[in-house]
This record gives sequence, C-alpha cells and structure tokens, in this order.
Amino acid sequence: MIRRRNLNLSLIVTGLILFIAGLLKENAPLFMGVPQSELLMTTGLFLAFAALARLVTFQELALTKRLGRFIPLLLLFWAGIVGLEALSPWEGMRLTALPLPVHTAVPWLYALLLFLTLAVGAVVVLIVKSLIYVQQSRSTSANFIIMGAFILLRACYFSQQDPLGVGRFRGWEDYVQTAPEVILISGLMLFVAINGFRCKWIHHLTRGQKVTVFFVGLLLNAMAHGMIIGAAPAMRVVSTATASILRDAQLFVTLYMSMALLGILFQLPSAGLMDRRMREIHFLQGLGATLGTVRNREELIAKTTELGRQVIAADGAWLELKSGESYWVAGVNGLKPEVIDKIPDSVIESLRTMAKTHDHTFLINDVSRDRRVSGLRYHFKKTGAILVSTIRFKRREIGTLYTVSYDRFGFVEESRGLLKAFSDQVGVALENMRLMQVTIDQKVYKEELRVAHDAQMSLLPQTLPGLDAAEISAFCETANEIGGDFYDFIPVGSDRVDIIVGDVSGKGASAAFYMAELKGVVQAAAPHFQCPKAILTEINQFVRKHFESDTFVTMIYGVYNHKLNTLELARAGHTPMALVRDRGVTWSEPEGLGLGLATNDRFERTIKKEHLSLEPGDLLFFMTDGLIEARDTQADEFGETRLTDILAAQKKIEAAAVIEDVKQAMEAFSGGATRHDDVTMVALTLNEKEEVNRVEGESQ
Amino acid sequence: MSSFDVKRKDVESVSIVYLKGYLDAHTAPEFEGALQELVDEERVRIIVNLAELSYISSAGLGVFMGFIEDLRSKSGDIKIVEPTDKVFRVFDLLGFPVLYEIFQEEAEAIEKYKVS
Repeated sequence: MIRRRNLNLSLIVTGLILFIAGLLKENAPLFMGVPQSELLMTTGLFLAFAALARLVTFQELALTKRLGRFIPLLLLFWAGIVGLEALSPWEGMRLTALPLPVHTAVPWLYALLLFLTLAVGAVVVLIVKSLIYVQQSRSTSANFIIMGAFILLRACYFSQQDPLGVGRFRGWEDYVQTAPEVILISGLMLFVAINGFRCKWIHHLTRGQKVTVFFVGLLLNAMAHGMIIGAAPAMRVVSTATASILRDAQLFVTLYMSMALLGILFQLPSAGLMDRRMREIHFLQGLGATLGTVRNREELIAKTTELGRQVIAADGAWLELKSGESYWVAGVNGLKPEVIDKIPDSVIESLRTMAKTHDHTFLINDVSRDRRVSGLRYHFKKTGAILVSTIRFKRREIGTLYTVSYDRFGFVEESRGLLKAFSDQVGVALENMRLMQVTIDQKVYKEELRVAHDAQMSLLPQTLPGLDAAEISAFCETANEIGGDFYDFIPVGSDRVDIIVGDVSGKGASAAFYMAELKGVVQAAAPHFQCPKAILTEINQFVRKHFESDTFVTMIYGVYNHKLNTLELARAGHTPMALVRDRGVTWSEPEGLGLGLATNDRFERTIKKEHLSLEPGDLLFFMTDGLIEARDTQADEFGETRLTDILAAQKKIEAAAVIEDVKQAMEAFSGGATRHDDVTMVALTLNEKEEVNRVEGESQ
Repeated sequence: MSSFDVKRKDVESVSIVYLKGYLDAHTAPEFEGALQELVDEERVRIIVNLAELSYISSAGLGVFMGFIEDLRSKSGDIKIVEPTDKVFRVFDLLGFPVLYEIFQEEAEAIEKYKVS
C-alpha cells in the first residue's frame, strides 16, 4: 500500500513539475515544430493521469500488456485518417507546408511526434473509459462507442477541409460554420454529456482517496485546459484530422473531469460516514467466514468479543453465555475481568432483561444520567455508553454481548442494528460449535460403548467346552452396545459341565456391570454345590445383598453330567428350557423366583429342581426372553409357538445349525424392526449313538 | 414407537394406577414417577391395573420391586389386577404370584384392602 501510494505521489509530482515547467517556458523555442512547453505539459498531464488511474481503479491498467495490440491498431487507424486527408483537394501530410526548415529536413520525425501525441490522447481517453465503465450498465458501452464514432466522423469530415482555413479551431464559432459541422458537434456534445454523467467510481473511493482525487483532478483539469496540443497550429497545418481527434478528446476529458470533480466535491462532507458504512458492510460480510474458520470454542469466544468490540468501535466488550438457567462471563476484550466482576449482578441482570425485551438490543447513550444502570457507573466509572445485545439461535437465548464506550453518546443508533446483526452471526457460530462438539462427544461415546461391548463379549465363553458325546453352541446379541444377557459354561470335575443362561433386568451400563459381577459369583459358587437349586440360592443371596432393590436377575441353571447323560435343571424366574426329542418339544419350567426378588428363605422354599435323563439325539435349547419377545415391524412377538415349531422341525440335530436356524427365523420375522432386548441362545445336542460309536471307532 | 400411559384413580384410601401400552426401560420412569407420587402423598394402598398393558419388560418389573418393600414396611402393598394372559405369563415365569397378590377383578383387590 505504501509503495503504491508513493508511486502515485511521485507520478503526480513529476507530472506537475513537468507541467509547470512547460507553463513557464511560454515562449520556449520549438522542438520539431512543437513548442517545448507543449511537450512538457503533455507529458506531465499523461503522468498525472496515470497516477489518477492507478488511484481510482486500484490496479495497474494493463496498458503495457495492451500496447502491443494497441499501437498497431492506432497506427492503422491513423494511417486511414491520414490517407483520407491525402484524398482531399488539399495536400495531405503537408510537412512541406511547415514554415520551419527542420521539418522538411526530418519529416518522418515530425510524423512520429504527431503520432505519439495522438497515442497520448488515446491513452488518456482509455483511462477515462475505464472510469466510465465502473458499474457499467447495458448502455454504457454503446454510449461510449457512439461518442467515439462522432469523434471519428468529425475527423473524417475535417480531413476533407482546408487546413489553412481562416480562423478554424480558434474559437467556439469555428465549430458551427456549416450544417454538417453543426450536426456533428451537437451529436458529439450530446454523447460527451451522457458519458460525462458516468461517474459511479467516485462512490467507491474512501474519504482519503476522494480528497486526493479531488485535488489531483483539479490540477489535471487545469492542465487539460492548458493543453493545446490538439490545437497546436503546426499540427493542424500538418494533419487536420489528427488535430480534430485530439481536440475532441481534450473536450471530452475536460468535461468529464469537471463532472467527476463536482461529484466528489458534493460527496466530500459525507465521505467519512460513507467510509464507515462501507467498513461495516465489509466487516459483516467477512464475519461469517472469519467465525467459520474458528476451530474451538475458546477461540470463538475470544473472536466474538474482539470483533464485537471492533464492529461498533467500542472500548470494551464482554460475552456472557447461558448454561441452564445461569449465566457466566465467557470472554472479555479491552477490559480487565475484575472490572466486570465488580459490577453488581442486579445491574447486569437488568441490562440483560432490557436487551431481551427491547428487540434484543439495548442502548444506553449516557450511563451517568440513566437511573436504570446507576450501579454500573458507580462500579465502572469510565463507562459513558453501553450497548447490550442478546445472542440467540432460532429464538433460543444463548448468551449476551455487552459493549461499552468510554464516551457518552459513543454509540450511534446504527451501532444497535450492527451489533444485532453481529450477534445473530455469533449465535449461529456458537450453535454450530455446540453441534460439532455434540457430534464429537457422540463419536467418543460410541467408541467407548464399543470398547465396553467388546469387554462384555469377552466375558462370555470364547471357546465352547469340547465334549465327546455332545455339542454346544451359543449366540448372544445385545440390543444396545452393552446389555444384561449372559451365558456361561463351567466345567466342574471330569464329568460335569454347568450350563448357565441369565438376564439382568434393565438395559445398558448398569445391567452390564451386574452381569460382569454375576459371572464371577457363579464361577465361584459352582464348584461348591452339586445341586443347581443350592447354587441359585447362593446367587440370590448375593443379588439381594449387592444389587439395587429394583434390579433382579433371571437365570436358568443346568448341571449336565456327560458321563451319566443327565441334566439337573433349576430355574430362577427365567424363560423355560426346551427339550427336543424325536421332533417333540417339551418345555421344562421348574418353579423358581427371579434372583433378588425375595429373601433367601422364601427363595429356597419356592425353588424346584427338575431331573432329566437324556438320550442321544436330544436337543436342549436355552434362551432369554429377548428371543420370544423379538418383535416384527407391527410389534407382534416372535412367540413360543413359532419357536416350538422351528425346534420341532429340526432334522439334523446339530447345535450350531439349530442356533443358526432359529436366528435366521427370528431375523426374517423381525424384518428390520429395532431390537429392543438382548437375545441369547444356547443349544446342546447329544450325538446320535451310531455317530458316537463311529467317532469312538475312529479314535481307537 | 411404543406408546405408554399411566392414569390414576383414588377410591377412598386405595389408589388405582392404570397402565396402558408398553412398559419397558423407556417408559418405566413414568410408572416409577406415578408410584413415587403416591408414596409422597402417603397413599400406600396401591392397585396396579394391567388390563390395557400389552407388554412388560424386566425394567418394568423392576419398578414393582423398587417399591414393594418400602410400601409393605409402611403397611401398604401393591396388588396387581386384571393382567392379560401374556403379561401374566411374564409375571408367572418370574414367580410374581408368590410375591404379589394378583386378582382378576379390580373390585376384589379393593375389597381385600377394605377387610384388612
């Protein structure tokens, strides 16, 4: 920025010096037929225009890039004009007509000078064109082109006129001597005027730029008036058409600059306010992006107070957030936190409430004279004005932004709207941040649940006991990540395996913890007792003693003796076990209370045991209620009947196949309905006799 | 998805709680709240009518367990009336008939409270 400004300044100063030098050389000797003063003035004018163009368009006009195209085009154009002159009754390019011998000596040099002068004029017009085209409308381009066409027509017309015609180009009356001249000059003037009104670029200037442009422009205009290259007698004599173009360009540039300067002059008093508006608009525009890039909450809060303070040029700001029903100061900017701590809660509360009830922003221009906040002035002496805004998201209050100015009337009414707009953006940003945090938390929570699930699943037997005459298979699926169902196989001695299936009431974490505890208790109790009744009674005692009163456990306990092929079965409130033999299903449901429901006495009195003698080919099927209560999308239950049918239909008695069959039937039944309870199944199948023999035969 | 509703009716010293729909882990707190309200009002003679209860999960059963000892120590009780076959089956499996008085008619339970 500084470099750019310096360059502009030096361009202007150089231009000015050259121009003044030209002025001072009023009666300077001629340089190739043109007074040196004119040359200096022209060059100075060009430099100053270049500076103006840079200043206004905020970028280099890519003239250097375009010159390669521009110069040949201009040359072609000029050749055409001069060619036209050659066709006239008068002698074209009458270098010989020049009174000075130097020109006859080097005519091509003078021609080059003439062309360069034209090029300078064209460049100046192009610079003005770039100004005209700022915020162009549909007709902008057309107007400019028509004006150019008039200049060209006039050049064509004058190419056919007598260059030595008396009084030509001397004064206004010279333009209007003949009918074509009147028409052409009227058209030109009309479009010069139309283009002269295209001064929208001045709205985009900052106050400083307006001041600079005004004074530079004033100089330029004075310079352009002084610029007489278009009318230089020598040039006119040599090429009437070229002189006409330059004259018209000068007319246009002078008029245009006058219009622009007037526009700037009228805007200068309000330029400061305009600047502020522009700044505010830009600020609010960039705000969304700024707040969007903030990664964490602390940073967002810090940015909020910082930007909030900037947006209305406050001396200090603090942000208060609402959590539940209470409020806490989250961030402070430009103030010491102690200062805010000192302000009585009642004052803060009344400010907060007033903001809420006054369209979410509340402005006190003179704190010292406002009784509603008398406490504020007392504890916070420097405060002159205070502006408070409620931060909301979809009508939900998130917090409050307080801004203070040390000056009385330090805020204007517009600051209110501005802070409100800002607060709305902050509300969105804070809400986004919260949602992002929730998402992250959920991810973390899910990950933790997965770990818990894995841990819980690892509590279930990973390997199934290998038995000679029987096969065991199990399945457990929790409704949530963690559940209360469990099963276990505990080998006791050489011929006994205990099969346990249980269900802790409730769901989720607490059930899972109890389940983990139970596993240990069952494992510890099993070896001490022969009878499943006794083991369950022992566990009942534990559950009564250690579990919450509203938690209970159902459990089915089978002591399977694989030498004797017997099963001792006891049930504590659990879903019955099915014995499938020769395609007939018998449900074993010995009496027994759920664990933890009653005192040990009562439990022991109630519980019964069932003794089953097993035969090869038998299938024992244990489960939890989650299986028969599995629902379909219409909330109908899988049910005991359906299960019984599936069990009865088993052809090949193989534990894993049975489980798979039931599982598939259950899944087909529920058809994508949400599982609402854990499902556990354990199947034990006794090998057929022939098979046992065959296996034994092989092993021998 | 599962709808649940608790209604209450007081008949002299007896309070009847009507449960409707699905009583599971999600809806159990509602039932729990209703019982707690009665306990807070020292209305300890409670009848729970299950005529319109279509499902009860272990969490729902746990609610009965959570209150029964406290109520009985205050010489109150929870009596269960008019369970559907399906709900009764769940109670039966768990051994609830041993622990709770279950009646087919609400009037019987009220009568039972009156004589005691």
